[in-house]
Amino acid sequence: MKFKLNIDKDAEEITEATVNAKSDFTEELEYLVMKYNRTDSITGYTDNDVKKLKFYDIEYITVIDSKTYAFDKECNQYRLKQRLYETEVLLPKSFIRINKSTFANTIHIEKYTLAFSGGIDVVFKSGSKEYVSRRCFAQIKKEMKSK
Amino acid sequence: MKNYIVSFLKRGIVASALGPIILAVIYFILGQKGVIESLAVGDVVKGILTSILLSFIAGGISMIYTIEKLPLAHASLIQSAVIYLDYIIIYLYNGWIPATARVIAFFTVVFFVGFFIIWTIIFLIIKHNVKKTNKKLNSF
Repeated sequence: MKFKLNIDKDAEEITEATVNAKSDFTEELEYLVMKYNRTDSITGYTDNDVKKLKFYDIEYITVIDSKTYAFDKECNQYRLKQRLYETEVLLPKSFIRINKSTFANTIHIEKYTLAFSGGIDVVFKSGSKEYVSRRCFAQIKKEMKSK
Repeated sequence: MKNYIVSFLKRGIVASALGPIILAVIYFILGQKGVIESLAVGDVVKGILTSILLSFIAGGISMIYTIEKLPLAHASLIQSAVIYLDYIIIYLYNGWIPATARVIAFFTVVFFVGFFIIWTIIFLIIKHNVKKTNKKLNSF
């Protein structure tokens, strides 16, 4: 892979990469750009704490009782002020929709499991589980195929 | 809940047109083969109305697959049970199958063996897809 750096005082600053497929490198690059732009985190709230949550450390973001929550890799739960659709636009590409109300960070996905009922779950590296809807699994499968 | 009812009605209405068409084809074939020569008006009306109801229910229940949280096996089982009852009640009501324990048992066995075979095939396909996705996931 070649590395190109154009320095132009008048141009709009943009980080662009041409690769054959998504990889750890592209994910890290995106997180690096987000970090530089200070858009790599979101504010999470607990009963007595406020914390800047790095997207990289979030396992999944889900809706429980109409409220948006982020779960980190230590299984800590944080309330987000944004609605899920507002959070969606902030998320890096490593997040995928796994059901109507959940986005999972692929960095933390251990595996997918199948129950005899035909239900598919995603198992995170922390051990927590979330269900994957049929429609979303079809999309995940399609995206995986194109990688 | 309201969305599911609306979805049931929409799918049912779309499918309900198929009932009388299939009925007409069956009557046509039976007529051509000489199995039936004439039909009473009451029987035709009953046949048309019940075939509309049959296809309305069979079509409508396909909305069960839109319920995201319902595992595929449960959705398939509910759909099969509804279709089974839909068919058997309307077939018996119209006298399309004789109301004997032997015939009903045969119909039931064929229906559920069919369901089991279809479900096994679907399960194996999903299992294969999950395995493939995990393999791809681990390759990153």
